[in-house]
Amino acid sequence: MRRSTIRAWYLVHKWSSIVPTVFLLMLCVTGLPLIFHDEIEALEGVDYETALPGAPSAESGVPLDTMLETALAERPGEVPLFMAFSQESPLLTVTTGPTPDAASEDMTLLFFDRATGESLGPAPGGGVMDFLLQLHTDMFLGQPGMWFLGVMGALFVVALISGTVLYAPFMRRLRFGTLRMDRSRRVGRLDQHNLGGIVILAWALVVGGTGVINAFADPLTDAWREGELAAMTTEHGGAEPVAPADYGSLDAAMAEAHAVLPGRNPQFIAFPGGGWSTARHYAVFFQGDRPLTEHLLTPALIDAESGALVDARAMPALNQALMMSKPLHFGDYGGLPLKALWALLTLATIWVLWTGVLLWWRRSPGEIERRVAEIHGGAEGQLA
Amino acid sequence: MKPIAPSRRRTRQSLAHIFALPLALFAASFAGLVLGLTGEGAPDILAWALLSLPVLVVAVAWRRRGRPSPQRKI
Repeated sequence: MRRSTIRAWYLVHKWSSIVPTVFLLMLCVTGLPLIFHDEIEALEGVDYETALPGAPSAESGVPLDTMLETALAERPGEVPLFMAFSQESPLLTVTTGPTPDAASEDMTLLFFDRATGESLGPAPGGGVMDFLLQLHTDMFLGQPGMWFLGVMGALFVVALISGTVLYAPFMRRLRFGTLRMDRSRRVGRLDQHNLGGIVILAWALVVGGTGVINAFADPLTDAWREGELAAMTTEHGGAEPVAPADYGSLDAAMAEAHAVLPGRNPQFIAFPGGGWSTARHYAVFFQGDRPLTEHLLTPALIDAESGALVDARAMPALNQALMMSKPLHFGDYGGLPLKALWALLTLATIWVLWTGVLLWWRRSPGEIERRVAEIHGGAEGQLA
Repeated sequence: MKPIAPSRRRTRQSLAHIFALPLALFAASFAGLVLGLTGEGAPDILAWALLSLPVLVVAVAWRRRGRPSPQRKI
């Protein structure tokens, strides 16, 4: 590799890592406890998923229309926005708001036991986990905050790739895994930085990449709604809004949807007028029936007034990627050992970021040229 | 004290040689990540095993790290 090429990649790596570093450190530090949020929340309060006896709410229980009535009785004057099911317990959640297009700050999440029909009250919220989640996803700045962090994540991916490109010439004369801690502090840090980076590469690319995709989740969902979903409804006779007072039976709608997607379980229902459906349809989102496909959702559109099925069609590839991005980012799909490994890899990422910060912070004048020369010539190993 | 093996080579390693272990780790981690998604039980256990490799490599390298030695002449 020519010296000028190395210099170019060196500058790409330097700037693509310096800019996002402080934010990446924040993401790693907030991410660490978030990995275990289920366990932490179970310690703090009741874990309904394990505590409630009975069949999963996705499969059976008290009729949905009855559950909806109970929910709306708790929030008079409000309209239903979402109903979500559990695949493990009778826990059923209903989200209500002042209008069908209410903003998320104005939504209320209510918990129910579908086996008995009882209300379990509003979803437990507030607390440290919610604070950390908010900080992690948008730094309390809403959409612009999310997108900003998405850009930081994209820079992280560039830093990982450019670092890998520089790894090759640098390691020409070094054995893999060499940590020259007996030389200067800089050399020791550099070896740690390189080893850490190359070893976490696959995991970091996946978590970073899925983080970027998740940051742009809302625009992706909007694009689906305005594209695919709109096409599905215009093909089947237009989309005049239906008022909440005229919503038809949920149970009938569910039965219609099940008829075209037998053997599949629903994950949630989006009510008319919100971000996940049209102005006149229930959108019932079904999971796939195999472990790999349970993260992929197929919506079935049902006319909220007449109860007739409009269409059931898988979401476009980009939105499917979005749905797969969630488990791959959270690391919550493989039990506690996977979460423990996720945490260790996050610590390793902090190690790589921190050694990078120190390497930059402790630089001296003329540093760039010396570093480029070092990479171009290949690092020297220690002599026996 | 055991002499530390020389990690400097006079000849340059090929790209294939440099990336052999990193690529193996990359493939193993990636496989572990995806396998965990495909089911419960055996796929999960395989995922844990594969994803623990990067961590083990770091642990081994750390144990073998060159330590500052007061007798070094150079």
